[in-house]
Amino acid sequence: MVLGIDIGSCYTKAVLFDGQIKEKMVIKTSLRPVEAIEQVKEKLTGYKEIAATGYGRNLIHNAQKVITEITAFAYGAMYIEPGIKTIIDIGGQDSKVIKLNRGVVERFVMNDRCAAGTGNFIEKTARALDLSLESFGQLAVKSDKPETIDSLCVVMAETEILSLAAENKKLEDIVAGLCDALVRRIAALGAQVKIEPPILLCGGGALNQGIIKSMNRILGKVIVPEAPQFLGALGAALCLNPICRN
Amino acid sequence: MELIGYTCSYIPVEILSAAGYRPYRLLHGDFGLMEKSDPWLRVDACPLVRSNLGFLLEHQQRFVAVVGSTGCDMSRRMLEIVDAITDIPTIIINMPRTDRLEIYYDEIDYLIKRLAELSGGRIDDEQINRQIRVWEGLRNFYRHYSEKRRENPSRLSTVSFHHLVANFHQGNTQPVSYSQLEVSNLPRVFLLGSPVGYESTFLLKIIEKYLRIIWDYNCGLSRFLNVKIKGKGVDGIKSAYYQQPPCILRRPNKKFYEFIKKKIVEYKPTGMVLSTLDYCDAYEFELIKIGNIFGLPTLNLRSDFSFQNRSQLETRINAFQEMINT
Repeated sequence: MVLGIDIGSCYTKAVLFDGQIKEKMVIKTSLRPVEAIEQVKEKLTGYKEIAATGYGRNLIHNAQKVITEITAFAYGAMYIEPGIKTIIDIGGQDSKVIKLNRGVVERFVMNDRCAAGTGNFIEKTARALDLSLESFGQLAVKSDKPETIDSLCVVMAETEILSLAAENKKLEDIVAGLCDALVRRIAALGAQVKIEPPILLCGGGALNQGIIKSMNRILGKVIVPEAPQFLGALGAALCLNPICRN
Repeated sequence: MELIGYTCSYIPVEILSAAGYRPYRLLHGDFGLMEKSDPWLRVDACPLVRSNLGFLLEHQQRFVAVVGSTGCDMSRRMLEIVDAITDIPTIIINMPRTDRLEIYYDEIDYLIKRLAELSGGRIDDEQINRQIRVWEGLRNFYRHYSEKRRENPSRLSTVSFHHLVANFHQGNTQPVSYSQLEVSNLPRVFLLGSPVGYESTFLLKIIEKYLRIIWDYNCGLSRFLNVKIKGKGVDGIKSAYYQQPPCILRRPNKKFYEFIKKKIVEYKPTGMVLSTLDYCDAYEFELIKIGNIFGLPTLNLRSDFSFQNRSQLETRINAFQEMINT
């Protein structure tokens, strides 16, 4: 049995893997990745080897394998759906579009200098609207006519939301418009690598039903795995598999 | 010796030297310097230009003049600002975007005339030829080090090469040696893109933690080595500078692509790293094309000389290495 850990900027995700996922856990990284790693190791036991990925990947000193999340996502995607050609990851602090060719990373792009196109955009705007992340997604799904939100900057988007609210626009349409804005940003980023179906959506953003609906509308049907935020941890665990090692 | 600043690879250092000044290439990439330019340049202007302006404002008294070209829009704007807000004289030469040799030749004559006025002396052929010998000697000296990078295995890092050639760019006419061997078997890559600033070592270090840069075509690194003066006098200089492999900003820039292709065939890199400064629009759109044209694994990096996204930069470079190794 192996332990795959993905130390992300917002959450640390881990899976115990033995031919299939035996156990999984997620905890907040809260800018204390070492503490998060220790908690994972205390909770998930019985493993022989560890593989690490994510921005805190080099903090696990006894890991047998350390890989970037880009490679980890590719391994994870191939396990879930071998024909995947594009992976879109919406994380808390960045987003990535990874192009695969027969399971191997061919090109990738990342957005990390701006909240637009990341989970942060949704978190900030949800807070401005006094909504929880869950209700944000549920509300967005109800909209048939999303408002157009032009601002890609999270600060300017808040101003735009205020203007729309002042015009008495429906809350679900504003929220769906925000999801569309985020997806348009990712589509623009992904144009550099030419997004091709089948597309796998992962990361915490893939838990938001509003984003999934916008993705399906703007980029075409996306595949969302059962536990999308664990794809990196799963991929890390898989890289300890002898086939992947070679 | 008084410094004369210059901003472009088409400004002949031999002529600046012949006028009696020490040519200092403005290649600053210091985030701290940028703030000093804020009253005059918007925050989304080219970080190199913002940094260079900050440097000039802080060291005005050391510069007798600044010479630039119209090759890059934002660099030209910087010279206009320098002209407006400081006492430093500026000389801007018109760099033809299209293949117009006669315009460039006239502009070099204009530069010589302005420098003669500035220095109060004459710039004659003897002085020019002496400076050709000095600077060509330096180029040959640094070419030897650049070659060490491309050997297989590579024997010199671009981090060290960057330190060495800063001497050339800052007008030091004494050759500076480096004897340490830095053998590497990491994946061999080309570096292309925006200028590399004097303070950009951190970026090169992150790249070379995972990859070995065996050749580059960047201002601030080895681009100056492509100037090869074979003739004598001003005509020899004009011809060599004009005929150098072109800047990506010139139109049509077919020769730029042909030159890079030739180097790929010759050096056989396993990938390319395209490094763009934020808001360096020309490189931004051209670089996407480069990746597709050359058919090599290509990594696009963007930075603004700050350290803020260093862990994300490292993730990209690390992932690119994994991608090449797969």
